[in-house]
Amino acid sequence: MLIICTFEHSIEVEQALAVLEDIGVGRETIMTVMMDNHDERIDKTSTNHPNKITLAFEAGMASGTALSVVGISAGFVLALGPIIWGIISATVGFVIGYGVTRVLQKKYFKSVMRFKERLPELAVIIECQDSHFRDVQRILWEYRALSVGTIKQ
Amino acid sequence: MSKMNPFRPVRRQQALLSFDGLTFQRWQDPRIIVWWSISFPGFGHFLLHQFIRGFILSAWEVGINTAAHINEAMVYSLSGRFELAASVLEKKWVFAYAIVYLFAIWDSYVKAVDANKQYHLAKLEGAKFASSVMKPLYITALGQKRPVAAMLCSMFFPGLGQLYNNRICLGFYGVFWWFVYLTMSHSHESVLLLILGRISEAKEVLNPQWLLFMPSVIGGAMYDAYMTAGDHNRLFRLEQKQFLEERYPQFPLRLIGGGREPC
Repeated sequence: MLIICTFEHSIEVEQALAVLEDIGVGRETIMTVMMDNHDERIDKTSTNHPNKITLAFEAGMASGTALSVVGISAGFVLALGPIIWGIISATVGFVIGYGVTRVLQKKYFKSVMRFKERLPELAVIIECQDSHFRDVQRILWEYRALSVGTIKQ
Repeated sequence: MSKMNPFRPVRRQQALLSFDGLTFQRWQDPRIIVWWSISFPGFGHFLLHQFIRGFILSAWEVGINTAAHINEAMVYSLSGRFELAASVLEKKWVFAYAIVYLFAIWDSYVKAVDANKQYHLAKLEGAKFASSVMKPLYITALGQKRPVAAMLCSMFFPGLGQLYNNRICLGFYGVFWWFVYLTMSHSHESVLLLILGRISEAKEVLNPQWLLFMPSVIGGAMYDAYMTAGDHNRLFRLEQKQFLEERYPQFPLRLIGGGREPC
């Protein structure tokens, strides 16, 4: 019997595999397949912009910090004082930096805007005896497998 | 990753675990590094994991900036009081400040460009690295981190996000300086007065020289905490991939019809 399941990269995968070995599923009957997602595919072929996903955040933090310095300074002569103006200008700066970068990246994000989902990053294939089948399935679910499928031979 | 020849020593390390957390290579936009050096000399070097330079440059910045009243002059310039700005500057120190400030920016740019090339080569070399270290006084293990949690910690108190990321030296360095800033600038007092609705008092109690260090430090600490937590996750995956590929090698498989075929 063949079990195919998917996981996210996590410490739990290693726990699951260690427990499987412990109950007597042989190491030579387990196979892992790394599933690259879209960003990693881009990452391998180019070194110029491997962290495009965080670029908007980076630009937002930079402009937020810059604007808050101006806001605090101006706050010393404005009514509400430096702290309130500092917080306002930092927020506005972040929104501007983040927003502008996101708009400029619109085309890029259309193709890869999926990073919120839990992606199956890792497939595990296990050849197991029928007697082990129930236990193996239970252990996989217990350690947060995303999906589990079987092939009855 | 398995392209590596086992008989050859590692030429470029990808990551190192130690008492001070995880030291690693990463790709960073040199312009972003330059920006953090502009906002606070030394911060660009922290992001490049050049910690000794970072500690010294940022301490220099605090000392010489205060001696020359640079921040005060900035507050006056940016709020339109130009004569005050010119008169408050200490003439003995301004050139020295400017020279080291510009050097820190240029140096971090050059090092960032170089570090990206080193990262590229280290990544293609694909050297293995340890996933945990245990010593009498500490345990450090590669693990998954929450970038947003790290960022929020540093937002409330710069240095705490770095501690969450196992960066003991940078974390306590940040906590120490934040205590200095909030004491000297009276910022928490001012926040308390704001909450109580005494707005004009809240403004008067603030010290502009020390207050103006704070936005750059908060911004830089939040940015560093977020990005470093993300890098922890990236390296955790990378190490796990290497481990799984080695421990569970692929074998010929027949999906239907049972039994393996000898290959």
